[in-house]
Amino acid sequence: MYKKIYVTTNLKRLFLILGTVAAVLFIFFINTFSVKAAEGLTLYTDSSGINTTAGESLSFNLYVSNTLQNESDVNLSIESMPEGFTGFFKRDSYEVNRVHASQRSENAIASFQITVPKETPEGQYEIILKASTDEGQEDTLPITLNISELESGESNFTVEYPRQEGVSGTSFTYSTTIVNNTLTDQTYSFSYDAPSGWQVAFKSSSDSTQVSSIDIESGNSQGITITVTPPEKVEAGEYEIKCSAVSAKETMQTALNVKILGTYDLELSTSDGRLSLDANANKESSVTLRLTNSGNIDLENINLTSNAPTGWEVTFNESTIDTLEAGATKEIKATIKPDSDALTGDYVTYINADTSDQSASVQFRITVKTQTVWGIVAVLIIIGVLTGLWYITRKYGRR
Amino acid sequence: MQAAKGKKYHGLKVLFEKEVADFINSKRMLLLILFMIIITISGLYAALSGISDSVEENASFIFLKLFTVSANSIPSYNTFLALLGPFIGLIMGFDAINNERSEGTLNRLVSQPVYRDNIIIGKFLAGCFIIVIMIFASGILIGAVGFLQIGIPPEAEELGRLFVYLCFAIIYIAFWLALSILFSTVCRHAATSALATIAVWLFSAIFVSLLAGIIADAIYPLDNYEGMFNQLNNYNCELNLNRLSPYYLFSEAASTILSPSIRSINAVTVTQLSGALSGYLSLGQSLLLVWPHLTALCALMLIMFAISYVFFMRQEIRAN
Repeated sequence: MYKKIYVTTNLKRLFLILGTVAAVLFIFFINTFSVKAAEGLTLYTDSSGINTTAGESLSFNLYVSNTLQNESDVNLSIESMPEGFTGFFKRDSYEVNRVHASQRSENAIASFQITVPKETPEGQYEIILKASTDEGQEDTLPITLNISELESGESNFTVEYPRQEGVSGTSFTYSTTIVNNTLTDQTYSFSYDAPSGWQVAFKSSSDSTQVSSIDIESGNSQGITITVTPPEKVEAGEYEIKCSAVSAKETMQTALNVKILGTYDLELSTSDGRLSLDANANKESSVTLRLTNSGNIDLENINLTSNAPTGWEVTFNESTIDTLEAGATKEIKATIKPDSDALTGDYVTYINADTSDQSASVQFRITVKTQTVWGIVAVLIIIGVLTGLWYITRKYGRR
Repeated sequence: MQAAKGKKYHGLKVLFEKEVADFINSKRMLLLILFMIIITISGLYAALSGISDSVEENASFIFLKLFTVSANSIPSYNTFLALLGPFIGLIMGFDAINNERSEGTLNRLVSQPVYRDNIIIGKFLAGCFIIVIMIFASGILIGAVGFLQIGIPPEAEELGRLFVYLCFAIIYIAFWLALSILFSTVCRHAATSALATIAVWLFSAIFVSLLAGIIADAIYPLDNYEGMFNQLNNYNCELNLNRLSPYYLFSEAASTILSPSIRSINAVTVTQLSGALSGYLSLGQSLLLVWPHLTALCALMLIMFAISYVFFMRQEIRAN
């Protein structure tokens, strides 16, 4: 806003000066029948001295005054221009090199467009434009460009939400943006520094392809999605992953923070995975239980309890476990004694492991079997009877 | 010694073959075959008309259902065999000894160069042989026709159970054979011995269960408040008295063998049922449940035979 006002006042001042000069010249012309006027052709512009910065494109209108002829065609050319600058004449929407000029017209005959290269150092540059007619009249117009150097900015690598949290087993997605503020196109290659076992993937936000480097044009920006996958058995805590984007000139770093929340998970099974066993009534059978803390927090005070049919006894060689570290496994021997009246066949027994935070349960199918001892006793009875029969045959048989 | 032994078995073999031949040629055999056919056909009819309803309830061990399913008030094969099986033994044994005696052929038999005990052993073994053939023939027939009808091949477990069941039936009928031989040894007249055997059969099949109920109620009354506490004792008492009957013993054993879901043959308390899963027993476990029944039936059969043997050996054989 300020600048605009400044420019306007500047322009006003310029017009004032130009007006004064024109007035003086006019008086001069009137009084002396100026020699200059005899030359006939004048090329001029509104503003022949411009302050600008490198990389800008400017356009200014050109006017011609021809005192000799009412109408004529004018050739336009660039007399001299600093190296690297590009410029051309334009009328309406065409690039032109020859235009028609009439004396009466006060309209611009053409405009001159110029592009200042970005790398242009600070300084004063002069462009000389030339207008000539076929009759040999000509005029030059020097334009002074006061160019200030373009600031070469630094690239940016920013993260939208750098602090995220979640339980183990989830992956975290960060939206980042790289802005190339430098004067040239850059290739940014990505690297990361994460704890071992962590996986970090860089993707363009518009594409699902995993990338290792990306090209960004000068002045452009590109969204990058970083996916961080922690290892499955990660302990609860805070982690920092340093991601860097390295270009030829710069190294940009950004830190991603992950907070892994604690999860409780307790698993109960048997050493061989079988959840059925055979038992005899009133006789002890044992089974080895396997208690696994599959969460990422140590579990404390694990109580083992059972839910067995009435009259059954279930004992553990260790009914309370003080501490089970994260990821650790403990084997416990359970002894199951069916009731003396238990029926032959299948029964169900539950064994539970409980902590204040988590519980696990396992269901056993226990097949109660009749002991074969009684079968053997019965066979002995039959053998006894047969022996008696044989004895009788011996005693009475041979008559 | 070797010769004597050989001779002994030779004599037994001759007698055995003679008895089998006699029996097969007799008119009684026709009667027996007719009897078996009736049992088989009515059992099969009951099974085939009732099996579709039964399968809707529970579709496992379909093959065994052929022997246990009853329909339209026609009892199952198993019930028929338990009730009427004794008749087979009775028909074959009721006049085994006293008929020979009254016809005077026993004298001639004894005068042959065979040991005297071979006569009674031969008769018993010949009867057992006929029973084995009859029972297996009828059991396999039912299995085959049933398989044709239901189209589901039996599993090895089912075949095993069927085999064990048929063996039970053979022992059960052999017991009645031994009993009727005993009566025919003791009684002079065939009619007396036949009636005696029928009396025992009626008693064990019908009256034991009535008496058991009466006695159990007398010992453990079910009236008043007392009755609430006596219920289990009353049931157990009645059950044990019932088991004195060979008929009940065989029925219980047979249904346990043919129904793998039976887990106990005694009274089941709520305590025993807590945590129990409905499942099937293996054949071995079912057999162990009824092993006492098998023992008792075997022992009864052998004891009956032993008694008749002793009686026969001590009897005077005269021509009269």
